[in-house]
Amino acid sequence: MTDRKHFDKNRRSLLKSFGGLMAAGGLFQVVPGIQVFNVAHASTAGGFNDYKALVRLEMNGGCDSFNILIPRDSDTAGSWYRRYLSSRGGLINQGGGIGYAFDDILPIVSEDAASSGNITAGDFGLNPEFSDRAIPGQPGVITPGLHTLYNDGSLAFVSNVGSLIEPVSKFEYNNKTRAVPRAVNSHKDQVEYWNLGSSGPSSSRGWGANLIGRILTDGLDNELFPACISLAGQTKFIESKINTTLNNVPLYTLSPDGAQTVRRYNLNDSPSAAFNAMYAQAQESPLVRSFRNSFNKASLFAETFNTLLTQGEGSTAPGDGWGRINTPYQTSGNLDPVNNQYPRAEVTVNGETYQNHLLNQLSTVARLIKTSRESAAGVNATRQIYVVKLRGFDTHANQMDNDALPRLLAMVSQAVGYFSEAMAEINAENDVTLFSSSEFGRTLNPNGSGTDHGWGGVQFIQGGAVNGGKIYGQHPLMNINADDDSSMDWSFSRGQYIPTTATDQMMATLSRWMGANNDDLNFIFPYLSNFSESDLGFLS
Amino acid sequence: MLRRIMNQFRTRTGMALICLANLIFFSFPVNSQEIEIDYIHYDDFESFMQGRTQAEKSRFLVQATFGPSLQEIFGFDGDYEGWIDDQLALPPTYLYDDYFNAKLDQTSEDVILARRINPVKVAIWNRTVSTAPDQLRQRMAFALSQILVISDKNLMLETNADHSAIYHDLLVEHAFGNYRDLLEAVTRNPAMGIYLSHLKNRKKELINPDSGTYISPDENYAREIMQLFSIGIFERNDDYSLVDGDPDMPGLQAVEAYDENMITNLARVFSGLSYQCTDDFTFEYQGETYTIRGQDCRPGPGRVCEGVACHFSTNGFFSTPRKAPNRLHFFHPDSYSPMICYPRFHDTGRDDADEPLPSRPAQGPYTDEPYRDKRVIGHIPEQGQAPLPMKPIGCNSLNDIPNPNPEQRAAMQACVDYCDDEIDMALDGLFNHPNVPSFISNQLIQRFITSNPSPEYIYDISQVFKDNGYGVRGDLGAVIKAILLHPDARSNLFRSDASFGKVKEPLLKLTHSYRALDIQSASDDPHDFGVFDVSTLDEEFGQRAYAADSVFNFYSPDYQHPGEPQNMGLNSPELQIYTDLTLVSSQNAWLSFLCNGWGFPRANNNRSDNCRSNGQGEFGFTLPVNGRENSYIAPSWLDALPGFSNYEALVDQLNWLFLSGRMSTGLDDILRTHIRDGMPDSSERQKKLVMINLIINSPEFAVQR
Repeated sequence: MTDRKHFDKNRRSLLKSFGGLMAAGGLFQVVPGIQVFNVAHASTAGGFNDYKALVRLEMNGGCDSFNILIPRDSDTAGSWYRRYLSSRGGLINQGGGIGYAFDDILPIVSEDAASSGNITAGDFGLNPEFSDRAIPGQPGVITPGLHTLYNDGSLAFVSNVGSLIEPVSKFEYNNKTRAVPRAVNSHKDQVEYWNLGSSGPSSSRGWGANLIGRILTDGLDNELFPACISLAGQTKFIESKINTTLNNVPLYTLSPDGAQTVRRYNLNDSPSAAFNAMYAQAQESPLVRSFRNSFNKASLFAETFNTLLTQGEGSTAPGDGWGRINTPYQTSGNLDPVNNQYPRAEVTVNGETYQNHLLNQLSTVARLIKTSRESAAGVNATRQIYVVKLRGFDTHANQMDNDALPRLLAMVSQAVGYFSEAMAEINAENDVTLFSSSEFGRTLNPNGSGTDHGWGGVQFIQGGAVNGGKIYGQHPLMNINADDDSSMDWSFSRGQYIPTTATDQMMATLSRWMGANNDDLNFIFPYLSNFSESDLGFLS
Repeated sequence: MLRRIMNQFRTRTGMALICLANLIFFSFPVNSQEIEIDYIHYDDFESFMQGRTQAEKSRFLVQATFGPSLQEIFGFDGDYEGWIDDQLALPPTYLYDDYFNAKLDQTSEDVILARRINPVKVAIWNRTVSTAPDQLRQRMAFALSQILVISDKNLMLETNADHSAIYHDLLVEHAFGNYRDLLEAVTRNPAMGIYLSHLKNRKKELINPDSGTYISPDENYAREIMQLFSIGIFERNDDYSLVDGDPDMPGLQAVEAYDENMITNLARVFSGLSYQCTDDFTFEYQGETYTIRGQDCRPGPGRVCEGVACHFSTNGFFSTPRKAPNRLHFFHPDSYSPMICYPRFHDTGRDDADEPLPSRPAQGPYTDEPYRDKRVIGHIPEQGQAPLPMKPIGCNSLNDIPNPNPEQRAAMQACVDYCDDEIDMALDGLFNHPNVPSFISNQLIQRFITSNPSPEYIYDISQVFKDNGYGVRGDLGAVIKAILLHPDARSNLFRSDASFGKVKEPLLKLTHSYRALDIQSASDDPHDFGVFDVSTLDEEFGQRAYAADSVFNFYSPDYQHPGEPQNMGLNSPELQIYTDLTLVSSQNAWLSFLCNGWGFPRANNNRSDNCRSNGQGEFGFTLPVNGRENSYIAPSWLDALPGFSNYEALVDQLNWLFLSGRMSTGLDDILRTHIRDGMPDSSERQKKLVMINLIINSPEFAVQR
C-alpha cells in the first residue's frame, strides 16, 4: 500500500502550458457556480508521489459470464463440464442450447487461488473468443487475448461475485432472514450497486468518486484535468455531490474521438462576447443554472483536452499531442483530417468483421494516461479513474449468434489486449489496473435462444499489479436449483446463482490498491465488515 | 367531464394557495447572489383557463405542441380547453404511407449498405411531428414512446425501419385512447416482440430428454412490462409516494410490488406469440408489380392456412416474414402486423408431455416449480385472488394437421381462446394495479410540464387516470387534458417556483426551431426532406426518436444531475443526455443550422455562410446545393420581423416565440449591447439571425418553465 505523503507539487509547468491557452481562447471567464479554474485554490493537491489509475470496463446489460470462465475438467459423465453443458441446455444451436463444446474451450493453467471451494489446476477454460487476434487491415499484427494475458499472469478472475449486503444462503434468502439488495435482477438497480457500492440506490455518490474524494486531499489532483473521466456518458460511479462535507470530484464525459470545443462566429467579436456574457449571467432556476454550469464546465475541459491531445513536443502530425501511442492499431491509421478522428477499430469474429468501438474508447484512455504522466504536459496527476462501456450484453435472444455474445467478447478481448500492450509501451503497466463489471450474471438455463437475468457472475482484473493466472472467489458447481449449504452452492429455478463474493469485496480490494486505508474503506463500503475478507488478494 | 374538472380545479385553487405558502416557507436554498433576477415583461395575472397575454399563450403552446409559431400565438384566443378539445377531435396524422413512398425511391443498396433508410426515417419523423395539425396527439405519442420504449439501437430493428414507423403510428392511434388498449397493442407489436424478445417465446420444454436439458420462457418482456410500462418496482400511493410497508418501523419501508417468481410466471403468459401467417403481399412501383411471398404455414398441399388452423403451424411460429426480391427493404406486412398466439408453444397449464401440471398447494410455501395456474399480478393465490386462468388444456397434438376436421378446429379454437384470454386477464391485472395511475401520470407530467411535479399534482392526475368522470379508467385523452389544465401547469406563481419546469429535450429544441422559424421544405420533390434531414442527432444532440440506448429510455425519471439538482434533490431527467460532449456539440450544431442551413450535409464548403463578415455572405438563399436551398431560414421571414428601428417590438416577438415572454433583463441587455449596438457593420438580417442563434443557445431557452 502506498504511503500517503504530502508534497509540494511543482505547478509551474502546468500553468505554463495553459497560459497560452488562456490568452488564445479567452474562455476562462469567471463563471458563477463553477470553481474548477480557481488558481488561488491551487495547493498541495493529491498527496501521492506516484501515479495509479483504475479503468472500469462496464459490460452493460448483464454479461453471460458463466460462458466466460467455463469448467473444463473432463468430458465424461458426471464431470463438472457435463453439469455445465446440461444446465446450459446442451451444445450451442442444438435446440436452443448455449453450452460450448469441450474442445472449443481454451484450456488454462490454473493455480488454486480460492480460499474455499473446489477450484483446482486444470479444471477451467476460457471462452473461445479470448484467443489472440489479428487486427483487420494490419497484417502481422497480433493482439493478445484474455487467454494469453491470463497465462502470462496479468489477468485474474473473480468468480460468482455480485451485489450482497451480507452473506446469504438460499434458505435465508427464501425466508427473508438476511438483508439482501433490492431487485437483484433489475438492470437499473444492479447497475447502481456496481456504481454506488452495497448501500446501493439509497446512496447518491459513486464509490469511484468517494474513493478519489477520500484519498486525494481536496478531491482534485489539479483544477484543469478532472480525476474522473468517463468515455461512457453519465455514470453515477464517478458522480459526486458538490457542497457536501466531501470534496468535489470533477468528472468529465469525453467522446472516444476527443473533445469538441465551442465553435465561434466568423462575423466579429460581438456575438462571441454576447455568448460568453450569456453564460456568465445569474439565473434563478436551479435547472437553468445547472444547464449553464454544465455547459461552462464542458467547454472549459474541452479546451483543455483539445490542447493536450493535439499539442505536444515532438509531435509530428496533428492529433499526436502528448498522448501518442505507437502500439497498433493507431499508428497505421493516421488522423483523418476531415473528420478529425482516428480510423475505426475493427474486430473479426468467425470471418465477419465488426467495428470495435470499445477499442477506440480504450485507445483514448491510453492517450489520456500517457498525457497525464508526461511531465512536460504539466498535468502531474497522481490518481485517476476512467470508465469505458460496451453495451449489448442483455442477450435474451439469439445469444450465441456471431454478432451477439461472440462479437462482444471478441471486442472485449481484443480491446483489453491492445490496452495492456499500450500500457506496457508507456511503462504504465504496473500503475494501471483494468477491471470488468456487469450488473448481473445470467440464468444458466436458456430460454430458447438466449438467457435471462441472473445474479452472481464472473469478472476479471487486468494489469501488471494483478496477481494473475488465478481465479478468486468460488466457482459455482453449475447446478440449477442448487441448495447445498456444505459447498455454499445456491441457485434458483433457472440457475440464477446467489453470489458467494460481494461486489464490495472486489471494489474494496481495488480501492486499497489505489491508496485507501481501512477507515476509507469502511466509509466507502459501509457493509464491508459483514464479510470475512476485505481484500481478495488479487492486487499487490 | 368538463364540469368535474372545473369543480376539481376550484377546490384545487384553494389548495394551491396553501401549497404556495408552503413553497415559499420551505423554498429550496438557492444561491443568494442569483435569486434576484428580473424579466422584461413579467405578468403575474392568474387565469388557469384563459390565456390573456402572448406570453401565457406561448407558454401553453410550448407545453402542448412541438413549439409555437408567431401566427399560432397571435391567432390563439387563449381558450385552453377549447384548444385541447379541438386537438382531441382532430384525425390522427400517420406517417407510414409517407415513409413507404419515400422508401420506393430507394434502392436496396442504399438501405442495406449505407443504411440510408435511417436518415429518411428520421427526416419523416421530424417533418411529421413538426408539421402535423394534430400537435397534441403527436406530442403525446412522443411522450408515450419514452415510456413504452423500443429502439433501433437493436440491430434487428435498425435493419427494418418499418418497425419504428409502424410503432409510431400505433402510439399516435392510441395517444388519446385507453391505456389498457395501448398496453395490449404494444404487447402484440412485433417490434416490441423483437426488442424485448417475447416474439417466438416458448413455454418450458425438454429439448434433450436424454440429458434432461430444457428451455424456459424468456423473462424479458414480463419483467419490463411490470417495471417500466405499468407498475414499477415498489408499491406507490396515488401521489407517487412510496407505500410504507411497516409504519411502526422507523424510516420508510419500501414494499417491492412483485417478486422474481411472478416474473417467471408472467413470462409463461407471454409465451407462444409470433408473426401472423398471411398470403402474398403485392405492391406496384413505376408500373412494375412486386410480390412478397407469405410464409409457408400449411403442412400439406397449398401454402396458406385457413382460419384458426393458422395458429397451428410449426413453420408459421418459427419463420420470419420475407422481403421483396431485389428490393430488400420491403418487408411482408406480417413483419409488423400484431402477433398471434401459437398455442402449441404457449404454456396452457400442461407440461411438454401435454399432461396437466400439478395444482398449487393450498397452504405452505410454494416452490419454484411451475403450477398449472400462474401467479401473476392480480392473480396472487396467497392474497386470495382468483387463479389465472382456468383448467389446463392440451394443445400439443393439434399442430400441422393438413386438413383439420370440425372437431379438431373446435379444439384449436379452444386453445387459441385459452391463450388470448390468459393474456387479456394478465394485462387486466397489470392495468388495474393501484400503482399504474401515479406511475404513468408522473412520467407524463414530466414529459409535458415539469420534472418535479408536486404530490398534489400527481394525485390529481391519478384521480383522472382512475376515473375520467364517466367511470372509465385509463382514458389518456382525459389525462393529458387534466395535465395541461392543472393549476400547477398554468399558474404563473408556480412558474416562478425554483423547482418548476423541465430541461428541454434536445429534439424538442429542434422541432421548436422548425416551427418557430417557419422553416419548411418548399421543394416540390416529396422525397427532398430538406431541413428535416438531420442525420447526426445521435452524435450531436444525444437524442433521436425511437433510438434510446435501452428500454430504460434516454434518461431515467429520477435522474438528478450532479451539482445543484442532486444537492437539492431535484429530478432533471433530460440533463442525463446533455453530456459534456453533447452540451457543446448541440450548441455548435445550432450555429451550423442558422449559418449554414439545416439538413445534410452541413459542412459542405459550397454552401453559403450567413454568419460570415458583412458583405461576404449574401444569405445564400439563391445558391442551390443539392436542391437544398430551402434549408435556410427564409429571408422573407426575417424581413417580416420588426426592424431595428422598432427594436422593442423585435425583442418582444423573439421573446414570445422562444422564451414564452420570460426573457431576463440580463439577456435583453446582452442582446442590446452586443448585437443591436455592437454590430454596426452587419445587415439587419444578420443581426436578427445572430439574435435568434444566441437565444436558442441561451441557458434560458434550455429550460421550459
